[in-house]
Amino acid sequence: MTRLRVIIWEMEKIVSLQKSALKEISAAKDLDELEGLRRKYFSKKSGELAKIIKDLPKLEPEKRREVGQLVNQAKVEVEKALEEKSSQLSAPSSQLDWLDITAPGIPTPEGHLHLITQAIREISGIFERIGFVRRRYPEVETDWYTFEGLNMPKNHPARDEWETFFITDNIVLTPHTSSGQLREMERGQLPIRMINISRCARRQSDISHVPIHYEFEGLLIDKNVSISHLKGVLTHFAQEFFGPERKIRLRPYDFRFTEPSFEIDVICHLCQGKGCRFCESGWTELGGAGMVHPKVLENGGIDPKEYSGFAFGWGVERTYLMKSNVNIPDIRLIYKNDIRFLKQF
Amino acid sequence: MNILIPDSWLRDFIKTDAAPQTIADKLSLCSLSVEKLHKKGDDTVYEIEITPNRYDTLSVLGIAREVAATTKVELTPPEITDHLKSAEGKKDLLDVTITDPELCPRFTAIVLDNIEIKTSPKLIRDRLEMSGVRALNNIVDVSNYLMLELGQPMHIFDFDRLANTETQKGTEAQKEMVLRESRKGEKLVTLDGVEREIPKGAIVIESGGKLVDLCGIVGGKNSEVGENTKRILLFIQIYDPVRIRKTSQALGLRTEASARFEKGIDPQGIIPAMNRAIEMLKENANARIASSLVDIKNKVWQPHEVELEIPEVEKLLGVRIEKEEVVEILKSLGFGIRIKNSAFQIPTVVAKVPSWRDKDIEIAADLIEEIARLYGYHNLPNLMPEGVIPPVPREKKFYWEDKAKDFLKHQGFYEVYNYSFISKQILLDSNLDPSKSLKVRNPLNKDLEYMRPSLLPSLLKNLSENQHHSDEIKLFELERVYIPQEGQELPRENFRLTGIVSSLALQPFSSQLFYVVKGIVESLLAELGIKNVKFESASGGSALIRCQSALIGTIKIIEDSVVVFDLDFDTIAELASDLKTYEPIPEYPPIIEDLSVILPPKTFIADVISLIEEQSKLVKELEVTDIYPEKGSVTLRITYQHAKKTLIDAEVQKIRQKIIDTLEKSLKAKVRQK
Repeated sequence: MTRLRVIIWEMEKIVSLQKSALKEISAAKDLDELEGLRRKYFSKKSGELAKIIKDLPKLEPEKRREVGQLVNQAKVEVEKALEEKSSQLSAPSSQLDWLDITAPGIPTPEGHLHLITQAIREISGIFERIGFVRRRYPEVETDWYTFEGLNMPKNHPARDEWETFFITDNIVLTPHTSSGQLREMERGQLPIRMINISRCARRQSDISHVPIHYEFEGLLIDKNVSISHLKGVLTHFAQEFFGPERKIRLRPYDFRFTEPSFEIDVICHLCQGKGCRFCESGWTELGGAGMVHPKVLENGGIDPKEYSGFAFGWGVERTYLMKSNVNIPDIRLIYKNDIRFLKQF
Repeated sequence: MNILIPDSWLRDFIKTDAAPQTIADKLSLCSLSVEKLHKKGDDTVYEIEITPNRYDTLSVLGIAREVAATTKVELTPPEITDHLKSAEGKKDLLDVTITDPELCPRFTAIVLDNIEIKTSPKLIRDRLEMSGVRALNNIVDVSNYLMLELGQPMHIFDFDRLANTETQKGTEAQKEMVLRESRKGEKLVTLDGVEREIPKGAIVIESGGKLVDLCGIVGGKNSEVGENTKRILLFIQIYDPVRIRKTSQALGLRTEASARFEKGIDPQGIIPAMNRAIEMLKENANARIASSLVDIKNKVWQPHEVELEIPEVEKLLGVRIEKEEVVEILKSLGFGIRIKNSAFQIPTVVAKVPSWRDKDIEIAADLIEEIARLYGYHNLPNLMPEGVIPPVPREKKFYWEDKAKDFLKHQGFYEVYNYSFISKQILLDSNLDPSKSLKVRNPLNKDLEYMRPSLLPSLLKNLSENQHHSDEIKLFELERVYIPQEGQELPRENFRLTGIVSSLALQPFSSQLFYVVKGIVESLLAELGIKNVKFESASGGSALIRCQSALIGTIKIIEDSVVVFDLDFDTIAELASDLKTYEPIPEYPPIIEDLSVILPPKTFIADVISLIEEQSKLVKELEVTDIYPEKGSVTLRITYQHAKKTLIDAEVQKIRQKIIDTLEKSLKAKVRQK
């Protein structure tokens, strides 16, 4: 009994020594204090754990084995803690006391999506939210889909407006996204809510024109579609894209493939419609729209007595610039691809 | 096309107190866009954009009609006195032959004598100048003035400079004129003093064997009115608009007259214009009528009617407009109105189209437009469309595009957008065959002559233009290229995703950069869920990328520090997948070990890897940790794992030996044993 008790007592002492040693080590504030602790437990003469180890041979063999195992384990643990703490304390202390948080972070690769991509994503997102589905149609197209089928017969003066590039007499580069209207109708699925965003080509190049540009075109065909619905959809777009205070208005215009046709203005962002030097009238022009011409519906295999619809479309780049109020002196810069330009978007 | 209208002139024909700005705003909202108001002394000039359908407004009178209708004021058109009455019974001084009636639906002409050439009164000169037309003399000015006022172009010849007929009798000579189609190679010195070769098929007038007029576009110098002119021929026509347009296009010569003739002329405006002209010439030049009127009507104009069921107005506008208002609006625009009930008792407006809107108003929708614009588009409500949202799925390719673009952006790429056009030289420089590329018939210039069959040349150009800005450049473009198809009218439009990476930071440039780019492509394809991608060696430091036997792209070393990839995005979008499968997380620990191998020269690592993988299903992963292609040395980290138990050394030992034996036997490789 006595022997057993002694063993238990010894063992408890070792466990509590280990416990207090670990606690003290973790609380040590510098290397000096740590050195003191090392001496406290391991100095050859008076170290508390060292003493127990030194006295081991004095114990009876069975007791020696049990206590020895425990004390060795404690020794390993405490030494490990001393080691870890020491390396922690000897690390440059400046990083803990003071960190230059103004120094630059380690950079991740810096990439940029072109402003056209960003604009297309935003525009299509706005229309997709109200059920328009994004589409894309040929950029090299026949005369039928580009002009004739859209109610622009050969030699019609309205064709002049489109500054068209020709491949042959019958094949052109689409100068507008409206060339997708008949193709969409020919899919034979009604009603239609389409948003077609594509590359267009026009024979012009100066500080405000590029021979290549992107256009987006909305087409909605259903029963009982009215001009008021067109106004509703365009208002939705203008307010989502430009801001809730931006109203739109329609003015009469002329496109062969719509009747009536409109030009759409949005309230000037500078003067909020009061009229200023930039806009003069309080409005800035956004693009064209109209109710799909009955002949175009017929050409697309849709009965204009039963269905009506509207279409609208205009330039992606221009719309983006109007919104962001980015003042680009020469629109051709957009297609120059100077990385110092691309970096800014 | 824009026209300039002086406010004072406009007010000759309308009674209004409204300020020019008010008139301009109303026109913009309900009629035509007034783009600018120019202050000119006491007067204001409206600059108005005339859309092609509204050819009837290419005149002061036309704009006055619109102002009257949109601002609801009275129109006071010019008073017309019938001067032609006094021409009745006078001698016929002109012998006209029109070879083809299609060329000239209406031909009128009259001779005036006693002409005194001088400058025009100030009012006329001022108004012409404000409208952007130079004043010349009292004769020419009348024709220009009336073209601007009424929209009817007219020409005035010096009558005595025309040739006499061959078979003339008596003292008073009859002049000869043949209106015909031009023949190839004919020439005429026009009023501006330029000798022009007239394209075949133009409408011309020949007198005495030589051309004297390029009809509807510009007159001939040889019959021009000058200081010594005594007798003039006043000449007012309607010509075939298509021929005028074609000729003017072919010559690149667009005049005030041709712009009006090609768009449309009021068929009822000819005689009033004739009377107005005679009146002004009498007043300003002392002119006297000297001949009878030549008036050839090759096509007799009849007014047409358009029917409109009144409920259609509400259907298209979204608001109800009463019958009375419909009628009032149409009347204010000059339509003759009848009301009838259609077969199904639907109240219907029958509108007789005024002569000046003859070509523009054809169908019911055209009438609704007139009603809607005068009612005011701004007065219509904003409504969201009702009805169902079409159950059409979004094309998946858009999704993959977004994903691929985002991935590359986060890898440090800049996205570029280039023109679709490139030059022949660039095609040749890129070893692309111009004859197999789509050629633009009317390019802007030689640099933009071909539709690009590859995005690569554009990117190489972008790189060379940017190289001095940065040591490392990564660019990509995702767009269509155009591949002509044998036997098909339209080319194939193929979406490519092409990237270019240039770096001066790596050593040795090309091989390391190749692996950088390959890594990007591999990660990109993994991001798009494309599995089982294989790289095949091709000539000239390039690799073909295949997946399920489809060629999906290439990676190519262009030069020491430039590597490109070019992917067929149409195919990639088809192969791409979001589908994930769950594999149970292994419960038993793997055994991982490295294997160092010395390979004979020009051994492909891919062959080594597939060979090892073939040896046992327990080889779960294989990673290349070190590679020195020059020395042929490679270290592979092999992970062995069993799904159902913990592997023991002896089992792995057996597989390892099999691997080593196979490598040594099939590939003549040497394995460095640990």
